[in-house]
Amino acid sequence: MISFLPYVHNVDSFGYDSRIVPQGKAYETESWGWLLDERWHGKVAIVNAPTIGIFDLGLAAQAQGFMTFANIGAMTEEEVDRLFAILIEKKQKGHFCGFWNSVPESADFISSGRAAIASMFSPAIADLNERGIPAIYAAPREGYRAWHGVMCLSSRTTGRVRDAAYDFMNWWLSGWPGAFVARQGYYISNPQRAKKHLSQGEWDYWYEGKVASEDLRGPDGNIAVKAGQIRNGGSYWKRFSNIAVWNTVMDTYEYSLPRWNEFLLS
Amino acid sequence: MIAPFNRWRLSIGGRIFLGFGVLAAAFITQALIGNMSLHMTIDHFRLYGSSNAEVRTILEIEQNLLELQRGVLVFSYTGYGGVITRVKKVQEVLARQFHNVRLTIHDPQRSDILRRMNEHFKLYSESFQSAMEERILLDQVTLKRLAPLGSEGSSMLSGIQKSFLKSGDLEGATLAGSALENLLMANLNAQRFQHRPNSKLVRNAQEQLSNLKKALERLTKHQKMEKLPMEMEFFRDFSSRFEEAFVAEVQATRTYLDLVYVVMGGEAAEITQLANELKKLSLEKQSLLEEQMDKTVFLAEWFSQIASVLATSLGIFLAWWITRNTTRPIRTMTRALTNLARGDKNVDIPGKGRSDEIGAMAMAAHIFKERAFELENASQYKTEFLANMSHELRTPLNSLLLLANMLALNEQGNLTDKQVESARIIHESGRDLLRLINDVLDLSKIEAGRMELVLETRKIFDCIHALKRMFQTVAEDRGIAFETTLDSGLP
Repeated sequence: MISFLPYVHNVDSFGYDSRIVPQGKAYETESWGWLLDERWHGKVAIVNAPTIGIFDLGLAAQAQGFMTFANIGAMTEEEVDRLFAILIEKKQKGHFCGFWNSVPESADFISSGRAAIASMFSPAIADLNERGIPAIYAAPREGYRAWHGVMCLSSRTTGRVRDAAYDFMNWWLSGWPGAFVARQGYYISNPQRAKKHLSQGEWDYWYEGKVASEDLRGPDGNIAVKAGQIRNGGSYWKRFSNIAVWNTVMDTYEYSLPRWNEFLLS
Repeated sequence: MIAPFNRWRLSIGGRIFLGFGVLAAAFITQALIGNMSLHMTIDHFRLYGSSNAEVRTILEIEQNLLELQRGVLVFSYTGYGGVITRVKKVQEVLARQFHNVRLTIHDPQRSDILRRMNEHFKLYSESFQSAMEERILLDQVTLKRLAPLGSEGSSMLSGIQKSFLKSGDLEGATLAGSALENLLMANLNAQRFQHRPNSKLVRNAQEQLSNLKKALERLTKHQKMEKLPMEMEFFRDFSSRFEEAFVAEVQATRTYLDLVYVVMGGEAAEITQLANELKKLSLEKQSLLEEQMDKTVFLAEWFSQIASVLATSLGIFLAWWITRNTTRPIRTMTRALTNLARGDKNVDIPGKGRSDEIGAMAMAAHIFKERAFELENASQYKTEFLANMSHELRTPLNSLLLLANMLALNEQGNLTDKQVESARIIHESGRDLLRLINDVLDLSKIEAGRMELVLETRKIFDCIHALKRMFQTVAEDRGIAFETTLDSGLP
């Protein structure tokens, strides 16, 4: 039984301003541990979404050797407690410069200089690059935090509303939206259609991980990638072959919420 | 010698005026600096006062934000309605404080922080409103839907079970017991979820509800249930209704927790961070102001001291300068003029080369000295002239006197009395003339300071007689009456 429609998906990591943080090597030196690295004390921003942030920080704590998880995708209450004890201590010492709530806000954190390194989403990096800020989306050696977006339709939906909902879902899979999100660094579940709306140069850069043969425009039409650049982390397959954890709503999700709040306000 | 005109050399009056002008300017400058520093200090104090008020308001905002978070935390745990009133009151106070402080703070950096704080505060307030609504929804779902369904369903199943047991229908009792067990377990997990939310409990509850659904299907298919139409109707979609209520509870709980712990927590964290930044900037501004105040006071003190030293030094210099250039030359000039007055011909008039008042005075003294020499020479010539003249006059006058005396004596007796009298008058007038000539000679003595006065007693009668004799005849000749009268009281 199909209960949802897969569409946009990606592998996430963290972004950094290469003017401040020296550029690392994908899958070799770039590490989630950088988020808790003392070198970037006071310059680290985290997404204010515990379902996402907890994995970024869990991977960081693990990479730094502060703790280990039996299964990082299904943290126990004890592991959640240990992780937040580490994070709260860091927060109280001023390690984190803030928590962002939206993609533009995360880009502003980097562009304003408030943060040098932050848990980020791909469109924010595209936005920063379009603005000429040399932000890099890391390819951590520990692997990415992967996610897959789906569209669900309520069983109670009927008639014209259901037709409109199907139209909307079909539109998402029509190719153009897939090409649009590809330029943001995202992937669509039916790339064949998206490919028709991408130039060969765009396809090669975003999907194949090849050197950009021409200047590539971002979603809003500005040049986001200069000819000769190569995407950090490589091709779609290379990226999806390096996954540390799949984003899940863990059983300890509700348990982690007060801890997250404590972390935010510590 | 007259000094050449020098437009850069001022007169003594000008220099004294300039000197005292500079001195006055120094004192005025000192007073102005004092006044200016006083004004600056007052301005700084005013600024410091307003900065202090800003910092106080910011600290109050920080305090109220903490109070707000405390209230929200209490509400999130208890859901107590009384806390809402308190939280809303704090929100109103904060909104007012944000508004007021934004009117007083104008520098771009802090204004921007306040603007962002205000935006986050609005989001926080809106989120709290949503959280309250979610809480109400959650309480409604839990207390008005889930709890009655659980208790009613379990009570009904328990009744069915007892009824079957009573009638000896063990199969029916087992079916009712299985449904009851699943319902109680699902209800227990729902209650546990309320107490301490956990996705595992949701899964367990959903599994138990699925089992309940099956158990109820089996129960409703049981033959004896036909006799219980009301119960049949109640349990027809019971598991779906219970699941719906349970899912609504889970969703409301998750939304509520996300709003309170994540959304509001995030806004509160940002507001706190911004408040800290604002406090830091305000305190930095205040420290800067304190430094400026210290600097201003120090500079005013320093300038005032420098101006005092300069004014005092200038005063001393002016005193020395006036003494050297004015008083001393005047004293020298006085000595020279005194010596000149005493007839010292060799006296040198000082200061003739100067172009100021002393120079002018020296030039005047020099001219006076030259004139004095000329006058002395003129006096000498006059004396010589008078000496010669007296000799030339006295020689014939002596002959005249001698002859007049001989006539007055009238030894031959051939003269009339009138003639004799006339001869006597001639003789006496001649003697008077001689005396006058001698007096003229005496003037020379007076000029030379060699005149000696002879004080003696004379009879007033003799003086009157002498005057009468001298002037009566002349008066009569001109038809003028000449009379002498003596007071009878005279000695």
